[in-house]
This record gives sequence, structure tokens and C-alpha cells, in this order.
Amino acid sequence: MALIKDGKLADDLYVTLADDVDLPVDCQAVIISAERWLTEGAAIAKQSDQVGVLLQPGQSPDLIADDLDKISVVAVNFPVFSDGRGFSHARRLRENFGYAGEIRATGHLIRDQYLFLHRCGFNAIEVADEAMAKQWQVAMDEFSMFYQNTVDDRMPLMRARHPNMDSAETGQ
Amino acid sequence: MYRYDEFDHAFVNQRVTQFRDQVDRRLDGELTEDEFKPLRLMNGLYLQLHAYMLRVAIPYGVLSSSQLRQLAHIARTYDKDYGHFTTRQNIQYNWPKLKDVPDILRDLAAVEMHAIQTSGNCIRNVTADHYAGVAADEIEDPRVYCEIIRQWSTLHPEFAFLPRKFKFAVSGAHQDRAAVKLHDIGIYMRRNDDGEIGFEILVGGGQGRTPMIAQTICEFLPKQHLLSYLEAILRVYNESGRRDNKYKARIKILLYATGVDEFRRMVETEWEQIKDRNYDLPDVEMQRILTYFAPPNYETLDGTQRDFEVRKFEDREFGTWVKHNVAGHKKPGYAIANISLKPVGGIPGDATSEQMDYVADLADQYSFGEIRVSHRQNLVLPDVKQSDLYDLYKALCRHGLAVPNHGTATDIIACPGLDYCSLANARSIPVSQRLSERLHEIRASHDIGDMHLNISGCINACGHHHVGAIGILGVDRRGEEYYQITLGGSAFEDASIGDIIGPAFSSDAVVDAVETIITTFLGLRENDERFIDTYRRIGLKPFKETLYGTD
Amino acid sequence: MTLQIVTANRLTDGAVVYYGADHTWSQWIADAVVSDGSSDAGSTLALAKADAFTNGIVEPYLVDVYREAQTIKPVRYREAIRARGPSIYTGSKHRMPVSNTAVQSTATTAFQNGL
Repeated sequence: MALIKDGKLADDLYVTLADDVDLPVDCQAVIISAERWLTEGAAIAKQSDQVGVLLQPGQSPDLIADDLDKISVVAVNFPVFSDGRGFSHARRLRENFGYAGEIRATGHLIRDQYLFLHRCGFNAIEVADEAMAKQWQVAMDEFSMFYQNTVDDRMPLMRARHPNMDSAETGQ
Repeated sequence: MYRYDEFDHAFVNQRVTQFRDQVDRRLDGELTEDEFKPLRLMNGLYLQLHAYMLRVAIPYGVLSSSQLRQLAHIARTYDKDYGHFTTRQNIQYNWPKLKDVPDILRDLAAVEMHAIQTSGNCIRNVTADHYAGVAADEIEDPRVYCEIIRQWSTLHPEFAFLPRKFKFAVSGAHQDRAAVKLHDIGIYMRRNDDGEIGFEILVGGGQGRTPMIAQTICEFLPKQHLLSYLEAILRVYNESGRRDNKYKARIKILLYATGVDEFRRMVETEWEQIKDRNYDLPDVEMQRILTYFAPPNYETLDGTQRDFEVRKFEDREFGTWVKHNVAGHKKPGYAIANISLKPVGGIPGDATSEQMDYVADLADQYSFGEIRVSHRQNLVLPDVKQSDLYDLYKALCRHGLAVPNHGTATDIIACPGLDYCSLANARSIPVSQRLSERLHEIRASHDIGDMHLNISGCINACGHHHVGAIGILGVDRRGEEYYQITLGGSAFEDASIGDIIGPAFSSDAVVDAVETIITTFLGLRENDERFIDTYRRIGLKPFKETLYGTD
Repeated sequence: MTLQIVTANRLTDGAVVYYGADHTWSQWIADAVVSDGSSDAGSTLALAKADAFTNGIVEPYLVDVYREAQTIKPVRYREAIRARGPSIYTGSKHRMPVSNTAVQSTATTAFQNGL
């Protein structure tokens, strides 16, 4: 496994804990399930200042919306690549809840989804091996035109087409 | 019509490059079929029974003459010289080779077309009233908003992996010619009490295994909020639609489970959070798209063209063609001409490259170079001067394109069925051909009025059988092709799902069964009633009795 | 006893192919290796699958067939249509109706009776 974060290979500081495994004594950074966060989150946050939460596709970000300032990573799992609920989770975290921490995609994803992930607010992804980092970059560069306005910093065509439009006109 | 700017061109070319790389990797063995399949499907490429099938998007059914010529060129160069127009206003090629598909997509890109999102669990090609912009009963041209939705939905990053496919239809007219109520999201343009024009938004219509009529979740949405409101609906669906069973994954099932009021609440809650977040188009961009749909340079003409009226009287065949195939236009002196792709005994929706080229020429000559594809699998010339209709008719006659059956019983919708489709349970086209011949004979001696006869080769209902006044569904009964008949369906503003009349008929018996239904109808019809009206008045029972006996 | 053959589609053009002797793939059903008995068919399918990727063949599967007058015929009509091609006309010639109403009917008879 390897972690791509902000477009580069990065050391994964986090250990993902199964629900029945106790918090290791020397562990600095952990990712726990949303269920565990809701029951033990407060206690675990006292032992570690880097606590991440893993959302499954059926778990709405609403579950942790009030706690986001205490959560340093939200990992969103994709059990199969065709289950696209995680894309909406990421957008709601970034846009509706203003979450600025790491949003990490885990699970079964295909290269052709990387750009979509990034556009929806994911800034990290767990991949099978380090070679995939290159694939990430290829995927980022495949398109330079985007029709929708999302959270990323890519200029949507509705604005790119009107470079002289002032901010009042754009509603920004 | 909409024209690509430099950005749209760059976008589709990047898409072609991406797919060419994917095909190369597949042919080199770098990608397995499991890995390649989702990628080809996202570009409209299916593997069917005998060959690949490429489905090309015709956005809201609007084509320029140069685009139609390019479709003809593709048929001639890469396929078997014909194409099949579908109930989604698209065209399908049934015999492309894998290595040629990137070149086909390149040729399409050259005329501002593509095959993006013609398959897969994403937002599909938006369909519209094929009379959009020219209909006499129109509130406003819906193509502007179709184009806005097309752009917004193209490679939308959040909605590329929905629970299931997702279909939009938009109508700007009082009469619904776009089967709006049979779509995941249907949109009617409406004028409110203050005279402003906005949208009525309907959700949860669809055919397939569980046919349902869409329900209104918003009576009047101001235009500027269109995209944010759609985004809210799609987000609710993406997060809450079922993914455990593909037959229960469409939005109609979610809407049915929550009820319309709860669904509306979920959408509005989401919308409240995002409506001011710049998802909607700025005014300048709306205006930019709007300008592309400015009306062509119509001449100022008299509403009654004397020559035209005389011709109808003198040439009765022309008069018959006008009666069935010509519709009223919003501009005085102009008309909408429907070109039937339903010759008696022919294959519904098929057109040869020669016919496509020819229609393109006629569009240049008589209709400002524009053509429409209807969801009933016919072509339309939207802007013909009444005084040109006779010449147009004569020209169409020379190429077998003047069949005067638009909207009649032989104007049959049929899906490709088991002759091509790997999902089908039974063949559709041969049954439609035999029915068309029989119905043509019946029509020769009886006026049976307008009626819609739709045939699907499986429960996915691509042939819209649920909403045919007479619907026919092919099923596999113990290894034999059987055909189940439904009566009373409608795809219009009075949309209804047909009722199953009884046990299915064999392939040999189904044509006789339809004749029995029509004979029964003729016996019980009052005045000039349409079939659907007679059926609604008298119900299933009389038809059941004549078909199956009274026991 | 159920007789079975292996069929698939060819990667380059999607054409229907059948698994024949000596690891070959043929467009003709007559060339197919016929297995009788499920273990025999299972091993033929395994061989075909192993061959498929290198030979540019997509998703091999087993089809039930029977023999009639020395020829192999699929049991299900879906497979009969795959073996013969569409039962309708698939070209562009002679599509033009001579009048507005009549077009030559290419619909039905021979093929249908053949099933």
C-alpha cells in the first residue's frame, strides 16, 4: 500500500484500527470507524491529537458533522469502484461543512476516477503500490476543461469563458 | 443551434485522446476486459450479440446537416452503411470494429459530437420535445436549458457512479411530446401568475421492470436556480438510492419508498445549503448559450398559402402526407415536416447513409440546415415553408421517405431486440415488421385513427411498451419467444402505464391478436375516438373477451 | 446427456467465435469442440479461458447444444441467433421502398422456421 497526498507519494502516519483492537500506547495517529468515534471518540482524542474517522458509503458525513474540528482525517471507503456515494460525502464535507483537513479515498478505485475524486475534494488516496503515483498525475492532466463548479481550484467553463466578468456578475 | 467554442472543442478532443489510449492499452493486453469494460461503456461502446455497438449522443435530438452527413460518413466508412435512431433520440451503429472506434470519435468531435455518457450509471443524453423552438404551443424553447444541463452533466465528477442510469427530458410546450413523465427527472417549462417563466420539476418516472409516472416535487423553480436544484436532487439520489439490487436502484424506487413529500424535504434541505454556492450559471453564460438558439431568419409570410392549400386538394396522396406528417409551426407560413423512418415492413428507426445524406441536403434546401430526431425514431425538418412542402414531399417520395404514417398504428416504436441486443429475451424487429404489414392492410380498408404501438424485446422497455396504446413485450417462455400485450399506455401529458391483458402470445399468434384487438376497438368505437380514448372508456374486459373467450 | 460447446466474442470486432480443436477459435459453430458431460465441458471452458486473453477473445462461456443430421445446433434461440447472425436485413441496399408504403419484407419466414 502507498499513500498519494496532494499529488505526491507521502508517508502514511495513520494506523487504521479495527473496532476490536485497543489503541496502541505509542500510537500518534489513528483512523477509527465512525461507530467507534461516536462511542469512544472523546476518550481517544485525549490520547492522540491526530484522530481520523473512516466513513463507509452508507454513513453520511452528518454523523460526524459536529466533531469535524477534532478530526484530522476523514477516510471514505469505496468497497467497489462502482459505488459512488463517497463522491457526494467528500463534497458535503468540503462544501456544506467547510472541512479543511485531509479527505482520503480508500478501497477499490480505478485510475479513471482519480480526477473525479480530486474534483470532489479528496486530496489523498490509498493505492496498491507506488507506481500508481505516476498514474495519478496522468489522470490529473487528461482534461483541462471543466463544465461544473466544484470545490477544487479548477476554473469552470462558465467563468473561464467570461474572463472580464466582474465578481458581482459571477456571484462570487 | 448550439455551436462548440474553443473550450468545448478542446474538451471533446481530450476525451478522444483519452479513449484512444484506453483502446490501445486494451489491444496491447495491458488492460483486461474487466478493467476495460467500464471505460468503453463510458464512451457508449457495448459488446452485443454479434459485434460491438456504438451509441452516439444526439443532444436533445438536434442535428445540423453537416452532423447528419458525418453520421452517414461513419455508417459508410466504419459500419454496414446504416444506422439506427433510438428512443433516446440517439443513433446506434451495430457493427463498428474496436480499433476504429477512436477514429469514429475523432470524426464525431470534428462535427461537435461525441458518445460520452450514452451508457453507464450516469446522467444520459438529455432528451427534449422534437418540435422545440418551433412548436405552435410552446411557452419557451427548452433547448437552451437542455444545453445547460448537457454541459453541467458532462463528466460531472460527483455523478459518474450513480446507483443506476439517469434520464432527463425537457418540454417547453403545452403538449408533451417528450414523454417527460417517464423520466428520472422530467422538466416542463411553466409560466407563473406573475408572467415569469420557470420550471416544473418532476421526479421518479421511468419504465423498465417497475414502470412509474413521475411526480411533481417543485411547481415552479426560477430559471437561475436550475443547476443547483438538479444538483441537490442528484446528491440525494446518489447518497440514498438503493445499491443492493439493480432492479430497485432507479430514483423512482427511492421516491416511492420515501414518499414524494419526504423526498421533496430531503431535496430542499440539501438545496438550502448549496443554492448560493455558485453552482448555477452566471447571467452572462446563460445569455451566451441563449444567443445560439435565436430563431433563424424567417421570412414574413401569410399564414395561408394558397398554392399549398390547392396542392393538398389536387394531389390526395400529398394531402394525406400533410394530414399525418406535417405539424403546425409558430411562424405563419411555416410548417414542421416529419420524415417517417417506418416504411411498411421496414425496420423502425433505421436509415441508410444515402438516406441520411439526402435528408441533410433537404434540410439545407428547405429547413435552415437543421434536423431533429424524435423519440419515436423519426426525423423532423423543423422549419419548412408551407410553399415548399410539395417540393419537399416529392423529393422525399423519391427516396422512400414520404410514408404518410406519422402518429398512426404503423409508426411503431421498436427496440433492436434479440437480433442485436444481448439483454433481449425475444426479437422485436421481425414482429414489428409483420405487424406493420398487417396494420397497413387494415388501414387500407378502415380508418383506425392515431394510435401508438410500441414493442420491447425485454423488460428494460427501450421500446417503451408500457406507454404504447398497444404495448408488446417479448418474453422467453420455456425457451420460446412469446409476446405479452398491454393496453392503455400513454407517454403524453395524460401519461399512463398499460394494463396486461392476459397470457402472452406466440410469435405466430401475436399479429392476429393485435388484429383482434383492433377489430374489437372498431366495433366499440364511438365516432372518431382514438384507440386510447375508447380503451379508457370501456376498459380491458371487452378486449379480453374477444382475445381469450368469456370463460 | 447434455452436449456443450464454448463460445465467446472476438476482441477486435466482437464477432461470435467458438472454441475448436488445438486451441483455435473459429467463426463457425461446426468447428466447435463438443463436450459431453459436465467435467469434460468444465475443463474445455478452463482451457478456453486460459487461451482467451492471448488470443484476443472476450468472456468465453458454455452453451448447450444438440446434434441434428451431423450438425451442431444451440438449444436456446438466443444462441441460435448468435450462431446465424441477425434474422433481419443488415445492409443498405434495396431498402428503398418502390412506393411510399411498400418495402420489401425481409422479416421473417426462413429464419423463423429454421429455429
